[in-house]
Amino acid sequence: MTRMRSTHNHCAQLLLSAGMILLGLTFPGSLRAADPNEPSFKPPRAVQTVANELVIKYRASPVPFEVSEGARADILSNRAETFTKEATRLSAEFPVEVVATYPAVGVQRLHVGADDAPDLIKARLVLDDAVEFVEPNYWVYAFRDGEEPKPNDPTWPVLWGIEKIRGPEAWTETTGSEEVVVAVIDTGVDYAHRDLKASMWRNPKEEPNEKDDDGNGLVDDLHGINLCPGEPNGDPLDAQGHGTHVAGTIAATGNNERDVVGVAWQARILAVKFLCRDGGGTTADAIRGIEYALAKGAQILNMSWGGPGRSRALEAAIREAERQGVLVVAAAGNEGSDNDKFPQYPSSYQVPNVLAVAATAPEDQLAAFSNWGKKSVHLAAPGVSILSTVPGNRLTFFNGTSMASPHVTGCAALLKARTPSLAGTEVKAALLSAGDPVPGLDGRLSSGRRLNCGRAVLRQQNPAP
Amino acid sequence: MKDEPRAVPDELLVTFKPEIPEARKQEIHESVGGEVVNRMLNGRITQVKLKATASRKEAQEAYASFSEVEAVEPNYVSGIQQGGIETPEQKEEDRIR
Repeated sequence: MTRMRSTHNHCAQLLLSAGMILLGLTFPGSLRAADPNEPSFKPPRAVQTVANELVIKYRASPVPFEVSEGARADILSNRAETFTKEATRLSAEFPVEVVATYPAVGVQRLHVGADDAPDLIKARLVLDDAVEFVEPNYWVYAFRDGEEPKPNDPTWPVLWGIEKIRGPEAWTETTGSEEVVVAVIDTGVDYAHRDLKASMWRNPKEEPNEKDDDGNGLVDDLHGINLCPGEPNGDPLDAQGHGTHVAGTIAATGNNERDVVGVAWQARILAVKFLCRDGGGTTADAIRGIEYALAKGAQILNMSWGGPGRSRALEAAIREAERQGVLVVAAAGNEGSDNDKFPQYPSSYQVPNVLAVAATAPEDQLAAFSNWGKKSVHLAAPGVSILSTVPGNRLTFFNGTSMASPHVTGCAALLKARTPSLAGTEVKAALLSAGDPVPGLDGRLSSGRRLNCGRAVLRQQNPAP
Repeated sequence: MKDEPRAVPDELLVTFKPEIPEARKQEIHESVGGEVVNRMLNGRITQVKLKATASRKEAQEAYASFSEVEAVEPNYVSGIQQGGIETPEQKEEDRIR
């Protein structure tokens, strides 16, 4: 893989890449991450299971450590016999065969003879006191020789930000979940972009039929809401580019041999368009966008925008998000100033679920344009020369704390995928504590740290079942 | 000293205290001359449009004089946080793009 070892090389590579993207050229083989002769990391887009198999976990006390080898063997033998009897009883009702029994952990693997039987068996065993749980036999995948996965998206070598935050390390555990809905409250999203369309949230109560199926006053709001035209509508298509770029860093499809990769490949993007063609939007529309996102079940709100006006109404909306356990990730601002002295909202609201994000450059220095704040800015993330999606199936590089925030948002989505019960404030705490201390950020940010997504994900103690 | 925040010139956001009846809110709007454009957060926050001839500052003061009003503020304008220039070299790089 091509690594960027110096700023000079980095800039040269970025220039080359940017030029090629603007010219509509593909990346040359030398920049490709994947060698066609090597196995490539290809996680499934959805969970995959072994057909016609089930794994049963029986209730069983651990075998005490202090027993002798012989006694241990007897216990396990008796236990295996008990499990076999259970399976024999089950075989009177269903076409099952025992494939293997693991008495030490209390698990039995069954082959099920009929396609519809697994669901019936699960329903039956849920009532059985001897059974702790039943689950499919999941496929899992080896990563090459213990290496972290590298996606085959052709621009991977220039996505320095995701590598810096240890995205690949996080991906050894999870690449996200479609159950995690992230609202990009921004200029809209090009939901038809070839590298984003698979990651778009789809309103389950709306059909493309020119009717307001879900009764929320919006016709065909399939992917979000557009608040720009005065009277809101259901088409949040991005005409500006900023929101599409943000969305790509959060959840562009990974390992599809195309374009870029997001931090949380499998999260779902809900588009709220309230920043209009000039990149500006009003507080009132931001509040309406937040209301929409909360009503549709968003768990994380990305706000890569801001201004100096402190609105108590917007703060009230953010507090409502907090009440619902939702995390708000907000860009600290690009004035190169101290937010403790010159606050920028929403990032400067002192609400526990707000995570204010500064931007760093490849060598981990605070970006020259980035705002900071020892009290009010919490964490840094890459925000210089960030390549991501823009409308029209294109890619481009942007700078900004706007680009740093979606790295954090994407990582938050990975944490939520792993542990859905985490509240927004808990996700925030996990991200802050897992960050890498960076000398140049000490005294500038409340944590003094830059996001380390790999550590944040690997540290989680209670992954989702 | 930073510039005054940008805001929509003829609009205000009015946050009422909890439990204020809708009829009373309407009286207050009529008294000040604000036309309700949107209600948000279960009606607690109201976006109002002022008459073309009204002064936003005076309307803000008028709303603030009612004990039922918790907060009144301009409808601020926010903007994207993209486009910062990291180094002079990068500025040149962006120009080339």
